[in-house]
Amino acid sequence: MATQRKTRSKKSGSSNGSRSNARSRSSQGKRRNGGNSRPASQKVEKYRFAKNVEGIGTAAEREYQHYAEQDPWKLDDDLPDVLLDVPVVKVDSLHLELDNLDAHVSLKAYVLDLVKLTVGVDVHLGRVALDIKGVEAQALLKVRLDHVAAVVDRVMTTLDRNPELLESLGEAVEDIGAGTGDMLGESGEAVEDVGEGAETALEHIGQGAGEGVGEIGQGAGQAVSQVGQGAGEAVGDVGEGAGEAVGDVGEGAGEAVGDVGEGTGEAVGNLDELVAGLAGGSQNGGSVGELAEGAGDLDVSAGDIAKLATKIAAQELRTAVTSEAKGLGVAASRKVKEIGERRRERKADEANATPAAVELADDLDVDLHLVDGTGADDRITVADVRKAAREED
Amino acid sequence: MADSHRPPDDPDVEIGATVRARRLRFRKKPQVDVKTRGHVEVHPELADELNLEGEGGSHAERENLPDEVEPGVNYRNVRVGWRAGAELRHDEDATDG
Repeated sequence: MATQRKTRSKKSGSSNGSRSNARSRSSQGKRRNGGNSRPASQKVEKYRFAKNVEGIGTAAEREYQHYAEQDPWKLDDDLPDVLLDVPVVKVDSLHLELDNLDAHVSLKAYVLDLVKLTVGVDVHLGRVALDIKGVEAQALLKVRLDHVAAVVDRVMTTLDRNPELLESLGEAVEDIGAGTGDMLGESGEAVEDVGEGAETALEHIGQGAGEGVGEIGQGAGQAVSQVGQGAGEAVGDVGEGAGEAVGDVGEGAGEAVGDVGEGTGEAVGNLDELVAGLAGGSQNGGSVGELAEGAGDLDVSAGDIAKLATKIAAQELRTAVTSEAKGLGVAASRKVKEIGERRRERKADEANATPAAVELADDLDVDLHLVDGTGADDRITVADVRKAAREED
Repeated sequence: MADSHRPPDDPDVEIGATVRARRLRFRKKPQVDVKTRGHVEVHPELADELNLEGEGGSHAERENLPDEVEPGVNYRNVRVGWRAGAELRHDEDATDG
């Protein structure tokens, strides 16, 4: 048995080589039988297996020779892609019984779910019982892939020329049947309709919700702005910084309302508390819908809005003022320190004294103009200040 | 029963065998069935573009052996050449036209 493919190395150098190979096999068989090294074709007729053929060589030898002369590498037109060769099988005596023997040889090629090709031969031997003597047999199996390759190429070319097919193929790719394909097509349209309707509904819902939330934001923004304004007036004594903090509160609240108006639905800062309060603690759509119609149609009064907004603003104000005051205190302390240091430096320069001498003179209430300096360039030192203080005492 | 159609000249799948025997005797009447397959499933969208059909068949040549063998009969110097093949045929005229 031998197999060949195009990609394999060349089978045999020539047909003569194949013939000699066949003869060698034949001779081996003869040697086993009687030690005679002559090939079957040189045997006298009584020793030859098949006697129904004339000429040189046995039928199997000539068949094989005929096949071998059709060297696949020389006959490109008849070149099989797969070749299974059982050149010569010789059996002296064979008792064969078969029952339901199935043999399948098939070539299958699938191109995705688009094309399924199956080519093959099925042989079923239901019941065979025979006695056979002096058997010479050969068998061949050939597979050619030219047609399959052409079909695959055709599929690819068709898809390349008609790319729109890919879309429809994608919709119905799970089923190849035409009827089912039609059903899928209709279902696809129905799904599209549903999707379109849902999309429209969502657009309406989104639009309405957006408008509602926008109105909420607008109304609440106004309320907060007013609260901020009123609170700013109420806390006017806090100072300029606090006034700015109030402004920040209004601005921040406005941004929060803006965020809500974008439909994020997220609670931003304390605005969610405001909305929740406006909705009477309920998160259902009815309350929101009513809110969407504006503050004038709300179940809550403008006073409630003002109270809640004021509460929020006051909290923000307290935080802002506290922070501002802390900041001011720190800044003032730093400023005072800086001012003191600059004053001492200036006074030291004026009195030609060291900074430490100036600081000590302040502490001891000593007039530096009355102190004689003993340092370099007659600069007043700490020792001079202490001496002057003792002399005053 | 062998397939009544001859196999294509250059089938995609081909299997063949030649058996010669000095003496052949069937103890029972053989039951043999040979089928060729050339099955094509093409997506409906490509059905018009790929007009494919399968074709196949088998053929046997016999010497000293009748079509209907009889059990217990010795057939001498028998030769049976059998070949089966199947191919996919692409109708170019239908698709290019």
